[in-house]
Amino acid sequence: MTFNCEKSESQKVEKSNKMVKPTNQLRLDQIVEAAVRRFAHFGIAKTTLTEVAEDLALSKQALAYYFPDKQSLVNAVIEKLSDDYSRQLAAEIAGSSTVEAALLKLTDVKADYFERYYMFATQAEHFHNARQESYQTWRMHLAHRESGLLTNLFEKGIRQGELKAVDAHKTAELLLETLYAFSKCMKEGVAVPDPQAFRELLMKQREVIKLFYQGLKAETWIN
Amino acid sequence: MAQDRKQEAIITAAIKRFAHFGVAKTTMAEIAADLSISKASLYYYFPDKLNLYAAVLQTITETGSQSDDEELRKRTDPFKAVAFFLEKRTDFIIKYHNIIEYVRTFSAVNIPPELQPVFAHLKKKELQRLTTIIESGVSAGIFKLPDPKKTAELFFDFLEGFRYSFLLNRPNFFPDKKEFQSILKKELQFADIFLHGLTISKRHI
Repeated sequence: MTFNCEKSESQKVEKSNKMVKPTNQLRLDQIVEAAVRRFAHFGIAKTTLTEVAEDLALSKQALAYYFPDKQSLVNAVIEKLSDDYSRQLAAEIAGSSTVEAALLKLTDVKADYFERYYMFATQAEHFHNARQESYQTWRMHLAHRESGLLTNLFEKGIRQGELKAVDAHKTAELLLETLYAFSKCMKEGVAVPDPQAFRELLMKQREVIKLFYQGLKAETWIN
Repeated sequence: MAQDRKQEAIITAAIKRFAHFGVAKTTMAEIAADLSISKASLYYYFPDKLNLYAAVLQTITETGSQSDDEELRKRTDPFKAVAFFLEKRTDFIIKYHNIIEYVRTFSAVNIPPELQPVFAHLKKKELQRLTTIIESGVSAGIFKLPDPKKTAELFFDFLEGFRYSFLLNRPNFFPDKKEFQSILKKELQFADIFLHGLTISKRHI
């Protein structure tokens, strides 16, 4: 946990609640998973806490014990998904033999999460006015982790002579922003998630990655 | 003509929303917004959500039904025809689960008059298909039974009960694709046993 100092208010409150109340971790995980499933399909606005409780045959009161409001559940889901995402990304990058392969893996993982949690992600951005900073903070954490992973990857590529000697950190940020811009375009126009649109987005991102890689590749690195 | 096209566009937009979010979670305002038309003009075409729902049901059941009928006619082996029937039916349910699901909000005796003709038509059509398959099995000398229509009804009721009990046993999650496919697997097994029960035994020939 490198970003402890940046933890938002809401997360601090949750943590202290957990200390006072006896909680069943298994149950907690189960609730978050059920919420992920509902949020991912229906979005946040169209999911009620009652539905999440019903999915698990829990009473509304029992659910409220763990998550007093939708906001706290949304925060827990954000945390879980971003942890899962960065863990998977790190594993995929570590398992790739070249920078190019790692970058293509990156788009795959990104596209996969984007398609699965599209409804949730687009709404999490606009959900809640009172604690807006929680989404912003989370996005920053994630961006930090992503760019950290990519920076390491580029540095390794430069050391091993696969890439030109560029500024690894700046290049990582640039690449991530390019990919983000693409997905941002899509968010504007789609009312119901459309598999075709996701596929097109992925194809475009892969094209960009290939161009990007061509530009970064060290001239002498020929195979 | 422009009117017809607008009506079609509304139905198409409604199918998208209903199929993903379900009928209850979709508002007329959202459908109007998807098409960039006013709510008032949406209500000009459909007086309420129920009428729009009826039109959607009719559209989704009619789409592709003719080509399915033709495909069905090509399958002369009744075992294969029934399997095809069940597979197509499962595809339909997976695709439109959230639309069909809305039907459950009405009790069987209390189906609104807007929907009654659509349901009657749908049920008749499915029964007709099954009856045709079984009849062709009889005339080919594969099955031996007195009343193909009654047998088709029996099979149909079994299917309904099957799906119902499956969903009842695990009511607490909205079902996903895999679950419907596992229902299909059981239906296919059941159909196999059922149809073999109707088959004239070859041992005595």
